[in-house]
Amino acid sequence: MKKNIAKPPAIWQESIAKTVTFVVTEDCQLRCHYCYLVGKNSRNKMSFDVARRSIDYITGNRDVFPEKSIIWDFIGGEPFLEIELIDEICDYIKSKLRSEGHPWLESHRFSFTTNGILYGSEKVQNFIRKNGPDLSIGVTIDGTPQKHDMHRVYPSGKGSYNDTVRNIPLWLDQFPVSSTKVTVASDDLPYIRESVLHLYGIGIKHISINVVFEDVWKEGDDAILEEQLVGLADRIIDEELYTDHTCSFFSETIGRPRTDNNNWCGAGKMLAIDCRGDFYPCHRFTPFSLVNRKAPPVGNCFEGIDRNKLRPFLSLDLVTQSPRECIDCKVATGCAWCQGANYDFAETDTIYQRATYLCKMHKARVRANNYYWHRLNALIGS
Amino acid sequence: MIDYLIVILEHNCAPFCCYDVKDRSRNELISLDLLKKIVNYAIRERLSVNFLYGSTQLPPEYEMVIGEVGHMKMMPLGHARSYENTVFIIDGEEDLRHVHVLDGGDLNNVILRVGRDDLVSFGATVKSLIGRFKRLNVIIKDVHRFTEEAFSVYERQLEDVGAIVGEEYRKGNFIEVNVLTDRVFLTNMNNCNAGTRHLTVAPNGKFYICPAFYYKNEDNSLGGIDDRVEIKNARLLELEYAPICRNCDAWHCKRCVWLNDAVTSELNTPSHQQCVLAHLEREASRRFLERVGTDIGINDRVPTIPKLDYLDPFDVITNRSVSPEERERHFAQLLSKPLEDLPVKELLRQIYRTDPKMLTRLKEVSCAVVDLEDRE
Repeated sequence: MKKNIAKPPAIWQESIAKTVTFVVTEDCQLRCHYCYLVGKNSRNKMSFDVARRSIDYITGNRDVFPEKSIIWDFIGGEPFLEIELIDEICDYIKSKLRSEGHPWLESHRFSFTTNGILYGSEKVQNFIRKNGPDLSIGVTIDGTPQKHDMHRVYPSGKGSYNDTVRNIPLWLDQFPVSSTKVTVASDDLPYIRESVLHLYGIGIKHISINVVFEDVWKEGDDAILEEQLVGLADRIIDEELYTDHTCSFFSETIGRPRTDNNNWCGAGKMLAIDCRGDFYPCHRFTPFSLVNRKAPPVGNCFEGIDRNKLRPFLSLDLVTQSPRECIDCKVATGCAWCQGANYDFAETDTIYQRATYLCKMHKARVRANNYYWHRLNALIGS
Repeated sequence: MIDYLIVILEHNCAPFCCYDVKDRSRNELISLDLLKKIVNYAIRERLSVNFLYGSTQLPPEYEMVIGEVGHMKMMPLGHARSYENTVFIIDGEEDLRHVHVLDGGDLNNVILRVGRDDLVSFGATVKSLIGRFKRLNVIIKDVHRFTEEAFSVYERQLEDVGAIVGEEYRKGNFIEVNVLTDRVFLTNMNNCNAGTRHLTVAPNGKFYICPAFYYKNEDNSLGGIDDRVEIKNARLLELEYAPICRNCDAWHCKRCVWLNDAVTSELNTPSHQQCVLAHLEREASRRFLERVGTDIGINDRVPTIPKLDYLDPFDVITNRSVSPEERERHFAQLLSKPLEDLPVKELLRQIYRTDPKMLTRLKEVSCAVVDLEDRE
């Protein structure tokens, strides 16, 4: 009998909704080694006034924000450190949309990415009860205790696995169709297979996983990744996990020559607001995310968006920013890049220079992905 | 490939483009030794030189060195000291009081710098200069300050200039006014090309993409006259790597990379104001050609300029209601307009001569493999 292959949960209003990200704090309980937020601190927190001005500007300018739907996204640092402020912001958004008869009143989400440590706290749970149907919450857990605690640590160096995993059952109970985001750097490559299976084992059925964009890859890392993914493919297929689990490393659409000239990244289509009220094309461009370059604001909550500053982001395409090798690459599809990372790593102040540090890792992923689909299709028919 | 150098002879020289001279109190003249070195470099690299003058009267030994290399001089009209190989710069009322200087000798090329707030008299200024130039390069100094109101003023003034120049054409006086006539006769982009066709040397002996980059931040040079000049991410200066510009047929546009950088923070991305101004000029050119083309009998020699329903190509590129195919069709048609009357066989021959590989690729995308079993 032909079995179903599970699909990852659909993203609400994907490519229809505008995403507006509030960086409510630059603080976090953790100091994850691979985190691109290099300037974490306990000083910078968003004030309600900055949030209110931003909301007033965004809801009051339909010509600039014509989208039918909106995702109000909250990140940090760790957003739940500022749950009271977030609660106040969400109340204000709802009352504002209601008083203006704004179409977003019927088409909005509040979205969170959290390390999960405070998920079970009374304040967070009260907030979830109050806003339940409008919420989307992703909890980040990296896999086995060994892999998770390798990078996701407190400033003392202590791992955070236990503090996150204890809230996973509650999270899955409240948001059953959720996915977690796993990040892989060089030294935790050997733990990918067991980590994905571990996450499946604790009830997380959908795993969005990626290798970091930074220049961290060593000779031979691609072989480790490929071996890990082939091993994972075998387990997923042999144990028929594919019927109700997904892992984003495996996708039928990756590893082909490119058929379009689209930019991979959505920077500029979204809007991030930092604690000071400055607007950025995404949170990866905020000052505490950049190592080598000055943050390039595209406006602020007092004066609005400078549309000239958004033009480079919105006209950016694949060919203009990529080296010839990437343009002609026969396994180009699915190869990701981050505009903020590109900007930070570029030789000049430009978003038009694509970083290609993960080239070998992508190719290794494609080889394992080919193996996965070859086996799976042979088993159940394509 | 670099064809010529721009040499700033003194820090306080006359700006000839849209930048301003920073710190005008500095009266730093290039040293004679450095000037000799630059001229020697230009000769060895087979480059011509545009020398930018200021108000200082150069010592005779400087002029002798300048005379050793093929060159143009660019100097403020108010301080005119030369007529041959000279482009005069008119920048404001003070220079306009010296227009009589243009009456002597052969007609010269003239640069007219105008600001947004001077545009109300733009047509009248052009009229006052008729008979005093063979080519007028109009430079708008403060493109980034343009608002909808200023666009309307400029549109009206361009219409006036079109009428003035049209009269001259009917009399057989084929003068050039860049913002009006260039687009009529161009079939490809003809931009400033700073950093790709020319580089600038400042009085400190350093290279810059153009004078504007020197005045913006002289510490950010491309290297010294004795060094290897390196432009990082130089591809971003090229048309091919400018997603908005490569889909545009405002071929006369300066495509000023300094202004791009200053307003949008990217060398390859023009501001909205830059695109709208270029398209207002394009539309003025279109109307000019429509009115004058038949009268002077050039309609069969220059392609018509298609009417557009937008002033900023960015709006088309980012318009989600336009499908990628529609967009592709529109831009392809626009950019190939000057070729559309060419017979296909002739066009294919030219493609073969230019790049035989292109024929192979065209066949790959256009010719289906014959399936002998499919008799339908």
